[in-house]
Amino acid sequence: MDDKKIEAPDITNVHSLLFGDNNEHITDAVRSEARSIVSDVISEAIHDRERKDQSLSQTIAPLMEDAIAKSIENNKASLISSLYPVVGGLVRKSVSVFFNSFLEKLNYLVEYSLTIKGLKWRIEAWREGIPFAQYMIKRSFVYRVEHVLLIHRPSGNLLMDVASEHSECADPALMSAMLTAIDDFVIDSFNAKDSILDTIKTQDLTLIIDSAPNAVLVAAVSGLPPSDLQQSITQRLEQIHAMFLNELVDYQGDNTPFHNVEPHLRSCLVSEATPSQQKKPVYGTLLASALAVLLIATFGYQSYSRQQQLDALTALTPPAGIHIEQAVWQGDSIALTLWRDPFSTSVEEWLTANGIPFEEIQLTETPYLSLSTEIVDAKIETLIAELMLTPKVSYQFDSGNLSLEGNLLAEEANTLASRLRSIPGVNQVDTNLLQLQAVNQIDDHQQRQWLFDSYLAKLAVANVDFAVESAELSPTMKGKLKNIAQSIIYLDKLAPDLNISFAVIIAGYSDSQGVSTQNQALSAARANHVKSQLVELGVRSELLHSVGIGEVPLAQVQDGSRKVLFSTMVMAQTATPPKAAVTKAKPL
Amino acid sequence: MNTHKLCLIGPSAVGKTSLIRQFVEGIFSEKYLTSIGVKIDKKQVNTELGGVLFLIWDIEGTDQFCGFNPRYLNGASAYIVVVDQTQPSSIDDAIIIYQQAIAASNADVYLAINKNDLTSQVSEQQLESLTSLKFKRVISTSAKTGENVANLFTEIATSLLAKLS
Ligand SMILES: Nc1nc2c(ncn2[C@@H]2O[C@H](COP(=O)(O)OP(=O)(O)OP(=O)(O)O)[C@@H](O)[C@H]2O)c(=O)[nH]1
Ligand SMILES: [Mg+2]
Repeated sequence: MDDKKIEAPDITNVHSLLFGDNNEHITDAVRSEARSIVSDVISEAIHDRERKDQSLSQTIAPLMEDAIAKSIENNKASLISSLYPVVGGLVRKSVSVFFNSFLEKLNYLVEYSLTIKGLKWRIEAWREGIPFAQYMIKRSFVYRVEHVLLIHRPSGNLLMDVASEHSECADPALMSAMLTAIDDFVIDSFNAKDSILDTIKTQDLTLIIDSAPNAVLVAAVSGLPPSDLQQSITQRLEQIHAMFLNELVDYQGDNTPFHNVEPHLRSCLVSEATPSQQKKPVYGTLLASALAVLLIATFGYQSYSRQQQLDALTALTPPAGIHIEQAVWQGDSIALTLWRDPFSTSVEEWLTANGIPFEEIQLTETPYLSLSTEIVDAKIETLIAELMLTPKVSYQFDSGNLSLEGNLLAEEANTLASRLRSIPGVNQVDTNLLQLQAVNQIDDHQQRQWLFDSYLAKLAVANVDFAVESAELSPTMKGKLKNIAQSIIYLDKLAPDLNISFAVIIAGYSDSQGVSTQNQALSAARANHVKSQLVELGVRSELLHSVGIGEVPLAQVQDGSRKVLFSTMVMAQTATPPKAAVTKAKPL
Repeated sequence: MNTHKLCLIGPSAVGKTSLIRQFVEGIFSEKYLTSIGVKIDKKQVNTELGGVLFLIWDIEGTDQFCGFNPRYLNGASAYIVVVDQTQPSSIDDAIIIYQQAIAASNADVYLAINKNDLTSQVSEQQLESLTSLKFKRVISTSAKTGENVANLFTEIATSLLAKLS
């Protein structure tokens, strides 16, 4: 290669002849083919170079940025229209993310902390299986202002706060700042001039917000705040704002000057109690029983075997209508204090059935009215059975609401509904599904006859019991007598249309104890007494005939013989004198 | 005890949220989740002069798409401008934010030059253009190592207390 270095004028001439003075013969030739040569290798070349030292992207990036910027500049409209749908969604998403996280925290602050002291209520709400707020509304308040915050408007700092009894917000300072921040965010986002937030609703509470230039007053209200509450909050804020204007303007983070605001804030803690909501004993008892269990747990280790017995007792789930208030060892026996609905299983029966010797228990029983579904249900069933309604009525009972179904006389339906309504725990009696009929409106003869017969049957099995050597009626028997009177009155109403005349024989009996003549008199007195009672209850006296039968000598009817029984004489009436007498009465 | 509103402002991703998290909870995370709107935390700071309750407002980072909302500075006792020393553009953005902020609020301004656990990418000269502005104090921090984080907040608290007494 050394000879190439020899620069001879001839060679230079040849070179320039062949390649041109500046190699232009070659470059021209390549240039004319450049496009096709480069296009053959361009992709591969870019790829190789980029792999080698990444210089290509560094070189190209600024060019691309320029190009894109130019393109955007020149085609704004088309770019906006293609980006718009994406951006809209993005913005909405960002805003909702912000609000959700914000409100979530606010919710938490407000709801879960407001009632640390009101734990008792929370437990009760939990027992009832309803949200706390609902529980409060139901049990005690239509609404209640739980917490009032006075906030320094510019900074969002909390100046003063007061809470109602059983309410305590965990972090009013943080809540205040957050409320102010929300307000700032909203004002900015919606280009508003001034605060536009006036209420924020969380699951359990409503925040009523009122803003003045230097202060914000916030009331956290549970329940359903009345519409005029907002107005009274506004008025209160105006007063505070005017009175403390200098302090508000000069505020530097020191809350001492605002201690005097407290009475003003306290006056905002208003509430409206739910009318006539007396506290039902169930809840107290439930709580008491929970406490009793705790109490028992505390004293437990004194004696292991005693503890076991006590454990066995407290581990039992009492039947509906029984609530244990306390169970402790006292001397040699367990002192058991409980509340019991008279309709519930007897305590003896319950304990014996569970293998706990009843003799070892000192029982203190306080009667109360249970609202448990089972007990209310039992009461409904007994009442319906007691009324001995002619056509059968079925019912459904669900959380206080009772709905009746079946065929019933209008008169009966009214008594039934009003008596059912008087059962504690029955809030509503729905009679919409009842087919009501008035006795004298029943035009179907057969149906009337059927009704008549069923009342007769009812009367035939009716009886009234008396205590030994007495002609007086117990309250239960008086109730029974009411039903009997009602039956006779219906019979009386139905009879004319059926061309029937009838009479009721009231037969008094006595047992075989004592002197026979006295017993005769006693049985007559009993029958007479029943008669006069029936007349008092509206039965025509002409229909009633009382007789004293005297002693029933049979030994086996001893107990059952101190009573009055009813028989009915029924005659079919025709235009002509009666041909036949039908005795519908059950034999005595 | 006095309550003070304290704001952190600055460009996106410089570490405002991380600084607050480090201060309030003592936690640092590499994960980046851009803030939207405001987030507020509360922390009590005890100094030789007494205690201060800070309500710390973490304000979304400002960039050319999302302007600075000066309303958030209302009533603030102090605010901290945060920049990222690994991100030279954050210095220029911070200068603009600073100007908007002082126009809206006359509270004390602090400068935190964050991410000091990483190598600086900012020239002396560029930094000078920022630090020459009227900051009550310029401090180099790391939300990751926690360096100077508590110091910064304590210093602000002390200064506020001194001002009141
Ligand atoms: N190494 C290091 N990384 C940090 C430091 N501070 C923040 N980071 C990281 O930087 C990223 C952004 O941090 P953020 O705190 O979310 O930033 P920001 O300023 O709140 O951002 P915006 O909310 O978008 O304005 C995250 O990935 C953090 O892990 C630091 O001091 N050192
Ligand atoms: Mg952030």
